[in-house]
Amino acid sequence: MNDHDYRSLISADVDETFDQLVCRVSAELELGREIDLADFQPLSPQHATRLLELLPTLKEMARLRPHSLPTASKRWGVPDEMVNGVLGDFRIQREVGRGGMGVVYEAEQISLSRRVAIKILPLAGVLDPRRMQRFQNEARAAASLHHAHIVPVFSVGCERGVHFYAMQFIDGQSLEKVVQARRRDRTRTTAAEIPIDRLSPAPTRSNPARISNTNTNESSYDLSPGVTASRQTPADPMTVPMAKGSTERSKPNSSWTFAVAETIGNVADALHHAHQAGVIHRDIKPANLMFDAGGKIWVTDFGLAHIESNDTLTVSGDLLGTLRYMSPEQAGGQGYLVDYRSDIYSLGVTLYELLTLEPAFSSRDRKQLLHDILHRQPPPIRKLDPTLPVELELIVAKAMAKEVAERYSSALELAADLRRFLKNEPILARQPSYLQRGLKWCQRHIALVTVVSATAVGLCLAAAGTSVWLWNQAAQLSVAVEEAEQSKRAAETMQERAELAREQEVQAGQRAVKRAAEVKALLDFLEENILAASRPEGLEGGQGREISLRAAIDQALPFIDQKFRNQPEIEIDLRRVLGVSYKHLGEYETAREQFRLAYELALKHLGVAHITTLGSLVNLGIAEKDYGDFAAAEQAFEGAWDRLHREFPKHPYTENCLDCRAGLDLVQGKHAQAAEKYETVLANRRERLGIDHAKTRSTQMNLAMVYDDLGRHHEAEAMLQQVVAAQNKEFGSGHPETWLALSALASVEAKLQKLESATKIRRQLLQEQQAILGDDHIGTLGTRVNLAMVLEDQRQFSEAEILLASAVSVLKEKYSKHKFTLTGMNALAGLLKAKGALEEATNVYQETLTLSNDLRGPEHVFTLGVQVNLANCWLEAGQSQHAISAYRQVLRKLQANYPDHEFTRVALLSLSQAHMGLGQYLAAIKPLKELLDKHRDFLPDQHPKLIESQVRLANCYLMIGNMDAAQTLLMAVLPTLRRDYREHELLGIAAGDLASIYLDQQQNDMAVELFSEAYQARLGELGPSHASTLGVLVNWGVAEWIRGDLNSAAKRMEQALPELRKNHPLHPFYGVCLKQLVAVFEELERAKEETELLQEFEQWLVKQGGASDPQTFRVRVRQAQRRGDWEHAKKLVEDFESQVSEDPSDYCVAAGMRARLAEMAAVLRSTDHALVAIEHQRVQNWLRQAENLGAEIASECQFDPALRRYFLQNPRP
Amino acid sequence: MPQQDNTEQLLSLVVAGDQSAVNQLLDRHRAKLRRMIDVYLDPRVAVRADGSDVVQEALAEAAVKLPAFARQGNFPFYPWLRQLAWDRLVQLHRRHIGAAKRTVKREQAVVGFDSDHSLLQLAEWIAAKESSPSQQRIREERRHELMISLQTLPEHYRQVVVLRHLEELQFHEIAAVLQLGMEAVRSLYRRAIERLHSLLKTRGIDLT
Repeated sequence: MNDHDYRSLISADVDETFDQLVCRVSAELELGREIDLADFQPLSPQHATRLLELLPTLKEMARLRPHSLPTASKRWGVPDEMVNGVLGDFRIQREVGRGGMGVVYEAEQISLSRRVAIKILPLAGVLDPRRMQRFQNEARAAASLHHAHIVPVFSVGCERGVHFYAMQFIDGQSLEKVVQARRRDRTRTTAAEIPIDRLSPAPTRSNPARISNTNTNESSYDLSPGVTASRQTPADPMTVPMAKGSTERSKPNSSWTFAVAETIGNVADALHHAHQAGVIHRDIKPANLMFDAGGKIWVTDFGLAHIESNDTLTVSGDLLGTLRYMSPEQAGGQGYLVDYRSDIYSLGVTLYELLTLEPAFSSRDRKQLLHDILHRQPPPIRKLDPTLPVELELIVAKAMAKEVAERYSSALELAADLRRFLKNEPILARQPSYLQRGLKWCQRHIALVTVVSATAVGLCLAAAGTSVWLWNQAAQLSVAVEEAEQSKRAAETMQERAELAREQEVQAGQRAVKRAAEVKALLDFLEENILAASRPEGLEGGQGREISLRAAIDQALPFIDQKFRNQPEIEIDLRRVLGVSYKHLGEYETAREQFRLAYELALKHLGVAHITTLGSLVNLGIAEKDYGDFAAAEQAFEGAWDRLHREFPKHPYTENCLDCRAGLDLVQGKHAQAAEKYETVLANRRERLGIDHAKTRSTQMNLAMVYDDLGRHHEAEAMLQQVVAAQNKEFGSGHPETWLALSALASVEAKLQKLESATKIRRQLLQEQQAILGDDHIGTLGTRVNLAMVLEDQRQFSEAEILLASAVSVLKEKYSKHKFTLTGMNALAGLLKAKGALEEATNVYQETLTLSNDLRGPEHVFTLGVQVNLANCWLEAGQSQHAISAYRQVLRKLQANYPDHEFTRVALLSLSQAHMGLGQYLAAIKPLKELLDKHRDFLPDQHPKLIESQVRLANCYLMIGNMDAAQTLLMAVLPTLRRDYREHELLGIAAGDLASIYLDQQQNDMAVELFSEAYQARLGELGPSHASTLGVLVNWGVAEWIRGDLNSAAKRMEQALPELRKNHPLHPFYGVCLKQLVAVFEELERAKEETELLQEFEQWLVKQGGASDPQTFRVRVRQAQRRGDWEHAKKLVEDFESQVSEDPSDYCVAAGMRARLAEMAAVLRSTDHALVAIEHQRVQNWLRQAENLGAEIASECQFDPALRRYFLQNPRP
Repeated sequence: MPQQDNTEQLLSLVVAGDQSAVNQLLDRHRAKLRRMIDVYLDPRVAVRADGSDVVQEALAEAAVKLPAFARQGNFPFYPWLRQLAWDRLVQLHRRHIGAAKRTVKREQAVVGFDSDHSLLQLAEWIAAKESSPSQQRIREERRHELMISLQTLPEHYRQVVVLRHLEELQFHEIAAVLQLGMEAVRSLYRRAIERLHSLLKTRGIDLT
């Protein structure tokens, strides 16, 4: 169930006393006590009856508690040490209230035997010391305040770890209760006879002259609502002067209204006093304003607000009451912006509620409430109660203006304006101008507009440039309106002096009037046809805004033609705004249509060279780009640029156009070109707008992202940190502009492998966006996708998956056409693949592909990218051929349309890997070379991707035997690898490959050294048991052997063998290791170990299906040799020779076996010299045949101990 | 809650860096947490996963986060701890009961106050109170009636009853869990008891 249900239910039937009673009984029962109604005095008979009725059920429920044991001195809610206890100089008497900030007790100050109220602070002992200190300071400052309407603070202290705050005891009622009571009265009685607040003392007449006598002690005791009301009752004609528009004063409840005005005036005086002493209250609300028994108003709880922080606000529902009255800068978490004007705002909200008896912001949902405070204007008070005077409406509006600067500049001014109203003098508060209206319209919509692009930057940078676009449009519009109004006024003056005015000036004036009328018509259209529907009133849920805006626009669309048939300029403006709206709803096609219409209208009515036409053309280009038609976008930009930079070199549009072209370069992967353009734009903006302008920063941000793509991460990071700091300063946290910068920073941090920092930023973003935008907002969803991707990088798959899966399902449901949906699905598939859920990944990719085909078309670069990803899945699933043909097909399209795009490079890399996996190294070289060339064009020398492709290409060269090419490449990258890629796969591969090359060149010492380096790299990256690590170890051993250090060779291999045996029993490396180690042991004459390993090797070979493998024959011949079984050995050799394939290696194996037979003959048949000679002859024959097939005998035979011995006796020429 | 004030003392020890206070604090809430898990753990999931693992994991997480929590201040301790366990419980259910098909919103309902399981648990406990066989038979009937009454209780009422009497939360803790003010919680509870009472009465159950 949701919160609203509770609330409606609760507010329907409030019976606090009885509620407390029931809960108290429940608690007593929990402690195992018997219930004696005498303990619960005073108890009305009615309550007693109800309680007795419920008691059995309460007992039944309490019996469920096996774990509760009675504790002796425990009484409900009051800590032991407090009960009738003494706290320092105070004797606690009874609890009088509790709230989010602690419990209030009535107490006696022993030394002065006076009645005080003591507030005990919650968990005071665990507040962080800094905040505690700040609280102490503020409380002491508050204690120094002396004002007729400020509750005096007697002392602030700490006893036995309990922090408390002692103040004068006010025996009375808070304004909150007064409002509640009045609200009840209103519903109970007919409108005709609303009683004056029943809680205030009976009205007494007093001297009207004292109205002006404010802020003095002697007047303070007569300032109850009842008293003031009586002064201003309509019955007294002296005090009710009628004002234009204020006839409402004769209405019956106007006495309340005046009482409120006077009361709040006094509160404002008190606040002003505090503000002058440098104390800000920070928590002004009806609950903190008390009427005492004499009807005097008191401000309480000065200096307490600091012990609450925003983080507690996010968790505790109790504090909603406080949040409701918070200023936007407080609620938005911009603590450093909070000054005394925040109190003015809160007092304005209080005034609103007192006058209308409705809270200004009524949402019961915290997120919605926050959102409303930040972005929504509450309905004007006269909308709720038309009888209220217009002056008070203006005063309330000015006090609670969202912009700090628009509020009263001091509490005194607010007080003064209220008194002007009471004395019926003209007030200072004014109706907002058209300019303000226009700006407010923007503000209400800017959140929607910019937030969408906030996450776009991480996913698709292109959106960034347009983020402030609508804002600028609307601002320009408002400026135009303002100018028009001025001209209109000027024109009017001129008409008054018509005889003197020249004809053309009149015309100019009339033009201005016409323009003003046009713009007003546009604003009205927006207001009536679009905004009216988009207002959140009456709509439920946090997404109401967005959905309704959308619905409103859809509805308004057909009327545009008719409404503005003769006003093409207005229609152009309007279509532009609509285009932007659709764009941000992700409907690029509709958006493009609107921009195209706007451009065509401009072309027709204004001509090709008009600045508006050119601006529209740029917009059309942006729309084409968003839609994915890069060629059309390029054409539009080029066309516009051509005229703009020649005819309007200084115009902002020209700069925007260059900005957009840079964005287009970027999405096409032309990073270097994009960087160049952004640098120009940035330089322009720095000069024109200054370094601290929002637009300058936005360009800085884009440039940083390009630097990031170019691998210049550190530069990007530094730049973005600057931007973030500046945005924070200007907008505060929780603002879309700040989010945008933070999001960009997070993606750079991720690239720099500062994953924790990136995660932290993303989490913060998510939290803020959830709070402000709601869970299902597209911006929030985008951030979830981004957060999931960072988590994935840290292999936190489960959380990433939960985030992604849920985000994607909402995206699919609500934003089925938005590009984030595609991005999210693509990311989800990637995650599944990384996690090893290949089948699921394939399915999601298939689904993404289908959707992308529908939304973007089969030729769109994103569609092609998904195809590459899908093929990667096939590759991983072992369907290499299938993958390869897919890569080739996609590559043809990518090469044709997006030769410079990143995806093209990804596809090239994937293709080469597929070939390498199949051992087709020659085939892999072509795409790798192409990839390397592209990387060299776009990336700096040291870029990881560049290094990687070099290493892979070298590996391929090595595999096809092109040692020189391999060596050249490897030597070039090795220094970088050693510096930046210690313990990295790439260093492992490169060092290993280079070692093999050195081995080939018989630079054995170098080879050994490099193998050791490769081993270290592998060990660090993969650990000691990984097959690759062990493979390097085996190779290292081989190199040692070749170098002639047999013992070291044995050591390396013996180190590798148990790991291989245990962890990789089927891996070829295990076989290689066995083969080499057997030979090494033979050389070292470690007979026992050799025998054991020969057996192990034979079994391994047979298990691998290699019963007729040359190695199997070789092992068996060696075993026969060891047994001295001449006949068996001879038979094995002959069998092998009868089936030997035409392979030089096999020939060498045969030669080795014959060499063994010769050895056996020499031992067993020492007399038969001819036999030995014949075997030697056969060795020679096989070797010659091998040589004829191109074998390098020296290297082929170097690991066969029998042949080594043979060569020792029979040196080759 | 027993030893409520000790909790605050322990929390200040945690802030002071006392590791044993962390353990002590968590240890004494273990049983309560376990009870909470038992109440909500779906039987389908319970056969495959152990509730005590959830408790253990949540406590481990809490041990890490506790110092920061304690420093931060005035959100009640047990509701915070409970939330950690709750999140894990939601995850567990999500893992075991088809994750892909659900949106986040629906996931919240997977482990929910509307789960019949928590009701069953409540009724079981009531029945288990009695020892003598004849009383047990009476109890058996009463259990059935109570079960039906609780089922007919609107969800929000049932929720507050479960929190109060199965999880044994204090009212201020319930307020924190439900994100409601104290007044609202008290009112909700009183109403729930009234409704329960009248339901039992209409079913002819006499509890006296």
